[in-house]
Amino acid sequence: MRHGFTAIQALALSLALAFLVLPVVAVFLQVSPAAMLTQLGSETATQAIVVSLRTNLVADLIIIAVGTPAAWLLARHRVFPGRRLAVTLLELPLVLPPAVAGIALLVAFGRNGLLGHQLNALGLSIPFTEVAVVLAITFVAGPFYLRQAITAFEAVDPRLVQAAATLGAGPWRTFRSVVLPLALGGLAGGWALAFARGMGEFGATLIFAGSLPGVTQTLPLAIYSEMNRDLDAALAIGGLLIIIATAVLLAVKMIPSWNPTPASSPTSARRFATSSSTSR
Amino acid sequence: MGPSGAGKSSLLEAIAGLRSPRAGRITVGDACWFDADAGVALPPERRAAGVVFQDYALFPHMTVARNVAFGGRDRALEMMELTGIAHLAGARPGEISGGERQRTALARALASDPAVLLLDEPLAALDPGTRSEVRVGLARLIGRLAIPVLIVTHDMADAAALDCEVAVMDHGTIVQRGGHAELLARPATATVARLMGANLLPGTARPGPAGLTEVVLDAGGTVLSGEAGTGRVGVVVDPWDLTLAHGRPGDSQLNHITGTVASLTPTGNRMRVQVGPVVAEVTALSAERMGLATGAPVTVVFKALATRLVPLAG
Repeated sequence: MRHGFTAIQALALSLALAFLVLPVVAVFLQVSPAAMLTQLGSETATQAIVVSLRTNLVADLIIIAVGTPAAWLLARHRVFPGRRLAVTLLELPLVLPPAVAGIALLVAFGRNGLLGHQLNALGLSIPFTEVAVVLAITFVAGPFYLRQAITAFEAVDPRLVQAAATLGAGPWRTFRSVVLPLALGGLAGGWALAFARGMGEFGATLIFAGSLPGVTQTLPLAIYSEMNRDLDAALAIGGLLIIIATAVLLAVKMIPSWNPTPASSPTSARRFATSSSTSR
Repeated sequence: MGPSGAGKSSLLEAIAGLRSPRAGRITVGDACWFDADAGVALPPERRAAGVVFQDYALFPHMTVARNVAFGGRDRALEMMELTGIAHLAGARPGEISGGERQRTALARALASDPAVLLLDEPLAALDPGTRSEVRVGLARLIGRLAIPVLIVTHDMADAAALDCEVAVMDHGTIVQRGGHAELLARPATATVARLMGANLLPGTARPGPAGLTEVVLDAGGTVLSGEAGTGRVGVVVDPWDLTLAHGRPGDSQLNHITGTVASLTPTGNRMRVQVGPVVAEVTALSAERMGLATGAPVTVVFKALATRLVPLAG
């Protein structure tokens, strides 16, 4: 009995692995590494790389700068009226289809949108600019960071915050030298997830920012536009995104080793074991 | 001291500024830290209260030296030497023993140059084996401090070993204050009687007859114990393990303390009888049958096996 069940489990695992890994492998089998490098040197690809990196960098800076204090507030005060509502609203973009996010951004910040008049008065037009790409990425990727950051801050023992205060440390010093170092691993993990999501952003960007080469055409949009013209070029960009995604995933897996928790609890002991095996 | 839920830790938190009371005043020396009527409520970082938390709350990502220096750079080295942890400077809290963690927390609190030291169950996180040893070190350290020290504990042995004024708290109010012996002999409430628990007789231990330990009591006389011990010890014996007799009975029990009844305190259907340094608890009925009265001569009898020995400071 037990034997048969194990066999079924092993089969299920093999199927899942094969199905999920095969397409990724296919990308690299289709185009040789040398051809891939050549393709990535094309104008379309280099422009898309620059647009993707620049917009994600700006979006991530905004996400971290606004998300970190917001998450600390939500983690520090576990009970206040409207907290659950606030957290739910912040998580909404996680479950929203990207196309909906794009059209929602358009009716909020577009020329005829909710804030269109005010933005027009300031001489600002956001849709189909690099700013629109940044807003789309911030909208869809921000909640990934926020969620992780709230979890990371909640994991910091409130006693340590109290201890710091009794030792004469004000809120700033407590945050800087106690809370931030202890939450850093979780924050970095949240950033990595947000970055991965932002690099892959497609639907919201296409609707809100369009796909203008050199301006709003990010790597995923470049794949879409190249696909019908030159499959190899599209695959090369796909390969690049796979490598970036893999790197982010590995970085997230290694994060516990950045978090210097004492070896007293069983979970941290396991973390140390994981980190030492991965760093070797 | 007090039963759990009495409000002991809340009191410490209120003094440290981690909790806001609804009414009242908190002053230390000339400084007012809290006054509900005047609207004064200093944040914890502006109160000079050194706190040692029950789980010590050491910063896990900092070394012992950096933990202590977080309290105050200038006094860090001095306090690490005072608490005997200078050799652990480079270790992290996860790498040192429970007793060493406690001393690190003490050094860190003292490095902030506090006006009052607050200790919340400072020995509760330790295993019983090391507790008595750490307790001796704590008593010695506190003896050297020139600031008021407030210790929350539920362990009578702490209160006895630290030789301090005991305030018993129950349901958020202090029901009795006094020395350990006084509270043991004349508990104001049943809660106090329950909490005070055992007698503690300080003395000096030496090897006795037939493998027993003989303790020369500071208050005079000797006690035989079945437990091993040397040097300064406290003989711990529960009041209900003490029997009272007239004259000197020729029984199998090894310990006899003769004296006069100093006080009689009824607690429910029992009677607390103080004879010299010890308190015996007998039923009110047998106290009546024996005709016990203040000033009457009586012998306290107990077995060597009913005693425990705890090490003491000094």
